[in-house]
Amino acid sequence: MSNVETTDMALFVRTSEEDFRSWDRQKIVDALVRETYIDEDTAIRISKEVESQIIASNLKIITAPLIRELVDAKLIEHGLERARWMHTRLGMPLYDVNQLILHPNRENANVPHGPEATNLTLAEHIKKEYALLALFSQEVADAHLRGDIHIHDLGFCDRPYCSGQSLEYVKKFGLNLPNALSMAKPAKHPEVLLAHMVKFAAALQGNFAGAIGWDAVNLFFAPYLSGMSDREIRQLAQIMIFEFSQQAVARGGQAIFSDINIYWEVPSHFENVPAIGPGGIYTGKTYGQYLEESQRFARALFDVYLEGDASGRPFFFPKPLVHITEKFFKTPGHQDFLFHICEVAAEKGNTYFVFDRGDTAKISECCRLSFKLRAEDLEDAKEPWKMRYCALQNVTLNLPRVGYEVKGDNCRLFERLGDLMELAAEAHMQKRVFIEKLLALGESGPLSLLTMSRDGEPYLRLERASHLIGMVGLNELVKIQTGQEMHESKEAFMMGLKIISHLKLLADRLSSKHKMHFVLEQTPAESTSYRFAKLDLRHYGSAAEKTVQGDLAKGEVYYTNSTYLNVSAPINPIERVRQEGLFHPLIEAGALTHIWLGEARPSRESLANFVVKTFQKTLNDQIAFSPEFTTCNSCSQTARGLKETCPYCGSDQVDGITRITGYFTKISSWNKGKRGELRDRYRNQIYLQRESVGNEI
Amino acid sequence: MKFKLFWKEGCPMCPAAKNVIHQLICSGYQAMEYDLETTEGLAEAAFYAVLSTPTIILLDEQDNSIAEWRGKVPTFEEAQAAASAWQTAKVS
Amino acid sequence: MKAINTCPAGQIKGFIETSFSDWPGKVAAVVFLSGCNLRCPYCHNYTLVLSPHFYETIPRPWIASRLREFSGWIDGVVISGGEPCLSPRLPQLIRFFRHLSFPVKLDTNGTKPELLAALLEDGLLDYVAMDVKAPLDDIRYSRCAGVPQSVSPIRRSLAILAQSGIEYELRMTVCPSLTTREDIQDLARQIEGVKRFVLQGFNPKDPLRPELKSVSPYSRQEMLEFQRILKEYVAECTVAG
Repeated sequence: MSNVETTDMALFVRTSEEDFRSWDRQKIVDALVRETYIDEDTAIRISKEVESQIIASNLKIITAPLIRELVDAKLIEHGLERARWMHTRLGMPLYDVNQLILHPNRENANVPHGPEATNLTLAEHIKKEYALLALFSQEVADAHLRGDIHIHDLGFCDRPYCSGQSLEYVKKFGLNLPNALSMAKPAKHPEVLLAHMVKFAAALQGNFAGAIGWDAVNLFFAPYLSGMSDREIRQLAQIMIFEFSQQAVARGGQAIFSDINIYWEVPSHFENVPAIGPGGIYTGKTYGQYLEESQRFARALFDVYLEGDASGRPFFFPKPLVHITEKFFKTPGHQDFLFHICEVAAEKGNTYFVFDRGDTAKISECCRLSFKLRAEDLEDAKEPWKMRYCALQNVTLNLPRVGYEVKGDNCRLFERLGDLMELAAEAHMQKRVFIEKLLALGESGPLSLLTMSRDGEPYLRLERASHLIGMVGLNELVKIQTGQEMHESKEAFMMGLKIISHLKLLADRLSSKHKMHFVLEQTPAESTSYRFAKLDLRHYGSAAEKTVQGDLAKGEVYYTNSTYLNVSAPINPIERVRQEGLFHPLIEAGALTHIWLGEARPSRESLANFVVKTFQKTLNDQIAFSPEFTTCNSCSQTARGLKETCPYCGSDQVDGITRITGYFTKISSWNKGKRGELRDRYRNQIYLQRESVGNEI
Repeated sequence: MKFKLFWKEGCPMCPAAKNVIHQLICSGYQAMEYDLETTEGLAEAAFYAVLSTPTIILLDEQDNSIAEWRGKVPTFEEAQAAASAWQTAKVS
Repeated sequence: MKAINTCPAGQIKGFIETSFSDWPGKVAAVVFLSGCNLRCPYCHNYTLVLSPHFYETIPRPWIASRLREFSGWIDGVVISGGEPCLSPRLPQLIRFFRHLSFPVKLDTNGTKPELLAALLEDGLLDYVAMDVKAPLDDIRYSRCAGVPQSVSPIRRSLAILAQSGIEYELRMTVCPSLTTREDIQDLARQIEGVKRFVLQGFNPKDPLRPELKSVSPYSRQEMLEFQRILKEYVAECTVAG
């Protein structure tokens, strides 16, 4: 059999170029020589061995991927492991692709189900494999696979993580993107500026994994709004919000994760900056002179948020972040505006209250990510189009696992945390090398948009990039170390502060050592907290069973996100903003306290009162109030609270809506861990303590 | 009752604050010093929401704050006066 | 209705440390007292009314310590229920909170005008929220209160509030099988001149009368229509819940 001449073989190969080719052993040799380091003689020997095996199997048709697998098996037999690794094929099993096409993806609630989403998931899958195989060292990749750390958005490994920008860039340079079919001059009309903004955001979504934030949107629009009536401004606000919330035609059918930063005052650093108006031309005024237009637009945006969409649901995107500053309280009309945004918070929940105390200025984006503006950034503020920032990557530490490993030994705990931070830094450096390589290809490379240099420097300013290090399950780590959760005793709480202080000092030290900016972040961990909990249950058995939150029997398990206190503990909102807020100054890249409201509809004045107190009495970075809604697909009405059936028409075709982590979505799209958390959330409701020796009837 | 000082290497006013604390210790007051570049020190500073150095906080037995000097240095006499004012108030 | 009640009225059974919805403009703590003289079919706090003995009474010193813990944040205490005015010790409870320097708001159903008058006379209250169940005639009122209830004490309470000069609001829960558009119209005329009125949607989740679970609450549009009617007679009308 084995001496049959290959030319006689009636064997056809299904190639990846969509055709049949007759068998040609030389193809194996060529691939091995091209892709790996092995010499031609060895390659020929391997190809012959594979050929005999195929002949022996009597196949009539064989696929190219199968040949590759057979070659890989031979490489292993010959001890050529490194060559096997280089010769790896990436892809997915037929069964998995079938499942994927038919069933929704629950990893990220912001991805709808559909052909575009499937494309995205398939592509992400291969890029994730690529990242873990080729981009990161084996040490880093293994740590990710084990679940010691989680490197976020591996499926988007060839882009930076998230970004914040200024509308000034679009106003000054128009929409002139590399590879675009046409270029547009700076907008002359507000609607056109808006169109440019949305399209630019979509283009950026194609170049970043996560959030696209915009600074001081109402202020930078202001020079275009002079002379417009309230109705026209309201119309513009409506278009902006609908455009962003309905951008579900972009990447993978995924809405752009967009944030708009809003100021009631003119921030001091923009006060004397010359304003750019229609046509990209300086208007001759400074931004300080556009307070009125800026405020009218801010108010109009919140009018639209208050109304909600056509069926009264809250808009999911863009997320409005209102900066509460010392100057806010000195700006006329702030009380009314505060009531207005608090009404939106009470009614629809959209408003994020970002606290910039003292002289801090920051741009927020992503779920809670913010960039504190440093001295050189405030220098940039004089030419605001320069104000564009990015975080290159996000790596999250699995804190409870450290607890399982050190079993209560505090010395080893801090040592092990140090190892993890080193590992995270390593992951960041490897990603950075890769991104630098892509950027070096310039305007003909894959990240051409980020290298475009309209103002003399590349759009992505890598030297200003942050590298995020997040954490999941501080509360559970503390529980393992001290026997109590953070809300249960001062000792436990102090242990939590110590751990985060340690991480913060390590981040600072790593920054000066590597000349890169490492900062702690509160990871939103929409899927990471579930992933870590599942992996720990698998690897650490009973220790993990005692520690994870949620419903073990249903598999709805999770760890408490980042530095949060137990979500189910009946801790009132005051205590929550105070206690959680003590962590916020240690978490440079931004932190947030959630106040879950459930069904209750608070008074806007009471919320305003609480917001002011939080600003004055705590160091809490940011708060958001989250109501819950039920929206009916039959009668299109939206009710408050999460209900099984529509309270208006009785239909069971309803969707629950509330905040998953940093944004609103339909609960039907949530992963199991998040569903477990939702059930546990303490919603500031009345609690009646059952009599322990009650005389039940 | 005790004083807590939060300091940092290279902070210009910190040596003066340390001086005051040493004087207080010599006069029999209980006082602790926390270096913000250490884990313990930073955690303690976070707990008392200390944002600037030097900061001196005077605490009662239940760790409630009686007096605070944030980003500034009291004179020995001011610190002592705050402590004795509180003691007098407690006695009466 | 089986009302086995081995627990005296006026025990503190529930406590919300921080409410944003019980006292407009304030961050308020709320205590819930046991016992009620009405049996409103839509009541969602009925455990306090029917089976308060199932729940532990929360000791006052503990409440005081919690309030102190959040001083500077909590602006006032709301006394709710149940019906707080059934308790002879209510004035003492209010004094307890006032002594801790908290303004006090009272939630009442207006069936005890004498006590209300006395509390106001002594300057013990800072705000009153009074429930109105139905237009002011005995038949319709009794239907919504779930027990026979004359409207004359209700009218007296309304008059006392109007004359006292205190800030107050009237609250009404509207439930489709109990309250009609005409009822709203009639009540609006009867209370003309009131400053603040709050309309509350009915919540079918867990009402006192289980048969109401199948009743769909009024839609947002209908609630806004009621609001429009009321606004012709009262200065300020809001829709809550």
